[in-house]
Amino acid sequence: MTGTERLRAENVVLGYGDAPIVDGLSIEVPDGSFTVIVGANGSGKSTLLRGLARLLRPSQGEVVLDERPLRAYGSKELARLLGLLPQSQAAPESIGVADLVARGRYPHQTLLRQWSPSDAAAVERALERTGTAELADRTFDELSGGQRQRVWVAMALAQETSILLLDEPTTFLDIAHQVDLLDLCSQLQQENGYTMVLVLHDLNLATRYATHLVAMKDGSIVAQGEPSAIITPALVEEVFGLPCTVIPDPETGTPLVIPRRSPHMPPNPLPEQQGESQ
Amino acid sequence: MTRRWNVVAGPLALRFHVRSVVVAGLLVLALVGAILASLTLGAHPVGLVPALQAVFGEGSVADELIVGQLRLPRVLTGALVGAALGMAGSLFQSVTRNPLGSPDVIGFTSGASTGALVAILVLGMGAGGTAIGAVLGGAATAAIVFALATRHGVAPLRLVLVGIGAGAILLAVNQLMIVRSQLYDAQSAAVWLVGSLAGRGWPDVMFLLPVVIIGGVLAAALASALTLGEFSDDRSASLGLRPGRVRLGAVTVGVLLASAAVAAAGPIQFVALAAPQISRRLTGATGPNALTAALTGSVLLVLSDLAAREAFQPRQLPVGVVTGLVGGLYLIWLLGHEWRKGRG
Repeated sequence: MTGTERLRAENVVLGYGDAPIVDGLSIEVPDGSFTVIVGANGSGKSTLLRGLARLLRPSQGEVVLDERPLRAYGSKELARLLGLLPQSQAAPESIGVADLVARGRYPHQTLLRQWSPSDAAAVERALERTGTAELADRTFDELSGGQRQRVWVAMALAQETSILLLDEPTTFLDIAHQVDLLDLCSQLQQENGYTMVLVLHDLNLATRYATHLVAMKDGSIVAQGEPSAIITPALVEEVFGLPCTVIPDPETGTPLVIPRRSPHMPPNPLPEQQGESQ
Repeated sequence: MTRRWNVVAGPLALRFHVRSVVVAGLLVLALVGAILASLTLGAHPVGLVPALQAVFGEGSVADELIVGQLRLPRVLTGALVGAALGMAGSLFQSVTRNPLGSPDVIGFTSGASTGALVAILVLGMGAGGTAIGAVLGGAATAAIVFALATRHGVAPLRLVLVGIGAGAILLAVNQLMIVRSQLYDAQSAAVWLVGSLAGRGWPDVMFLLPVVIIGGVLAAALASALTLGEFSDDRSASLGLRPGRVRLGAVTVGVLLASAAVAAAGPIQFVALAAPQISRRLTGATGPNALTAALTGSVLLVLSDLAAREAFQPRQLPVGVVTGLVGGLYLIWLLGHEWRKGRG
């Protein structure tokens, strides 16, 4: 390991109880990158993300941020450098959107310094950047799924970290809102200099947006790098157990993964078949 | 839109929820009114002016006895017990993220009762021993429930469920102790178990006052952390909170307050459950709102005790009977209301 990037893991063992899920993994998150971690269910991608955010402490090895191990940081101190969007959607009953985003300022506040102009400015900026300023006066309960996810991102932005980790942020969204959210993340990475690390399920969206793709299997990294450099039918078959073809995405030129036809699919309604049946 | 006041003074930068401040002010007025009513009304009515004179030691001998030595300490004990229960309830409900997560539902009040009953029935102790027994019983129950509910941290729902289980066991133990005791002891224990403010005097006020003040300061210090803790643990941890530590702190403070209240007045039902819910609906604010919950609890208990004392003259009821009645009705209404809104 050269150890030049701000956030990296060195031979970490992560898991719950005795059985490690991630076993001796090392990774460097390129600064300013849009890093996406992909893998099958149970491959350890969310576990790795939780380890990078210190929600899970490694039983061996070390996650390092700015040359200091994560365990050496105070809890608020770390929360000023590194933000996380967990999968949980739970919010306090009938909380207002502006209130919710303002909670993101917690790591910058103390008992005697509960609210300062810099807090107000950060909240306003976060609402603007996520396009949720017009929702500020609504309650969170009234919002649609897509709006809610944007508001959660706003809360994480109000935290004013330079690194943002997102755990499957698109899971509950329809395809249009998935694209919308990833556009937002990409914009934050390109225009505002955030380092983004996302766990995603949709491989084709991952290859579209990632500048750095990490493929995991059984708690280890199988391949990582630029999507077009690493995505091959062989890799997808190894990581997901899915036979597929990979073609260039007609819109973006990024790798597009097309699953192979299985014998259980209904017959294709090809023109000559339609002709036969009539 | 929730309006807020930002107050900046030197290194201080505080933030107040406007509606909460207004509600707190109105609750203070209501409390003062309820206390004055308690001082003046009764089998021996005292006018407002003579009552105030008696409070400040300038009334007639009879008024000073009735108001200064009987009614005032009783109503102050009621206000402090109500405040302690309201705050304890708000802390527990915030920690468990559950409106039913109040100390009387999740076993801590039963545990304090067990401690007190051991003191009364087994050790034959007086009022002081009963109070110590209640505090020890409440603390021991909390420690056991917390230990049993801990597995990779304390999951809020597990705390509620383990607490309900512990409460059921302790209730059985309490009943067993009463059944196995002498008739006279059993009767006095049963009266104590209803919860009453009858005959409470200045020593009770002096015991409760520091507990409520210390508990209030600690609850205020925990407020912003608890408010953040209403998110999931992952989210609050990613914002720099240590959810486990905050929970342990809040439960400790809550047990202290609830046990002190039980020690002074017996296990009065419903106040800890309802006060935080009522105050939350009044303020419309998220978070534990310990101060408004405390004031709501005070008003509720002072009014309930006034009703218990005067509504059924010449008979006086223990205040626990009134809070139990009102509380049952309130809970039915609450459940029906939430159910219609699709949340129950």
